Amino acid sequence: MSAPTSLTEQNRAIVEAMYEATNKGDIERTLSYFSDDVTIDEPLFLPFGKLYRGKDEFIALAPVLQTYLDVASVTLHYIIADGDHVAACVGIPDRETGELTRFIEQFTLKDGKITENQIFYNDAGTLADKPKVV
Amino acid sequence: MSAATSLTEQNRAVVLGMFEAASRSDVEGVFSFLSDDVTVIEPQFMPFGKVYHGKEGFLELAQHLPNYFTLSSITVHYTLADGDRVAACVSMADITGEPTRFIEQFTVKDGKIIENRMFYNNAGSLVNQPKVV
Repeated sequence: MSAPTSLTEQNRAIVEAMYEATNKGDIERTLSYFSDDVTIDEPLFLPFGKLYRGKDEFIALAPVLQTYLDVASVTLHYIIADGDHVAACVGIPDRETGELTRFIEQFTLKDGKITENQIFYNDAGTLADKPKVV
Repeated sequence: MSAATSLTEQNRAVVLGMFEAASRSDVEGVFSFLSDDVTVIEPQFMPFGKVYHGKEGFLELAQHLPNYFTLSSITVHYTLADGDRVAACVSMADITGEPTRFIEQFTVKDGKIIENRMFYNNAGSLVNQPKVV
């Protein structure tokens, strides 16, 4: 089978590979898909909501997320890929209820790396009721 | 220019046509892009958050929204289209003037929108306001 050739399919493959690495707990490989100056925009209505800049802040976000979400159990529902934007519809169990949250991670990619991840929530479980920690 | 041919481009055109009709306050035009059994899924953390069923449900939601948003400020920044799914990244001022930013994620079948699920990145002042539905 030939390798994906269009920009859309290349970027879809990068995001799929990043989720595969995440689900294997392979942090080094996960980080390899992000640019050094990646930004992650978590909604301000969440306890950990703010703009995170760079891999160091991304790494620091991970243990905070685990307080609220069972990040070892990511369900990737579907992907919408279009040029340099890839939106992944994702569910992660809310630790308090065990119920799946539902959100979109909207990635922007440049030269084969994720440069931006803007997160949009449809179902935030109990998270929107929690006090801010950042 | 040739007509949009791929399913992806046909469905993007449906969504853009719906937003264009909405910007003209053309209710009939908006409805022409919706299936009769459309569902609109607004987050529970919003005051108007619930699942709205059918065009009647869509109208019910449309009656709530002016209480929370300055609808004339809507801006569609870009769309992502991929087969039967189209995501529109949208911003709009809430009624206090704070910006909001959200994705309207549409599923389109046979040229009609059958589902619209809303995902918020910035909900302005609206999160956890008293529920009205």
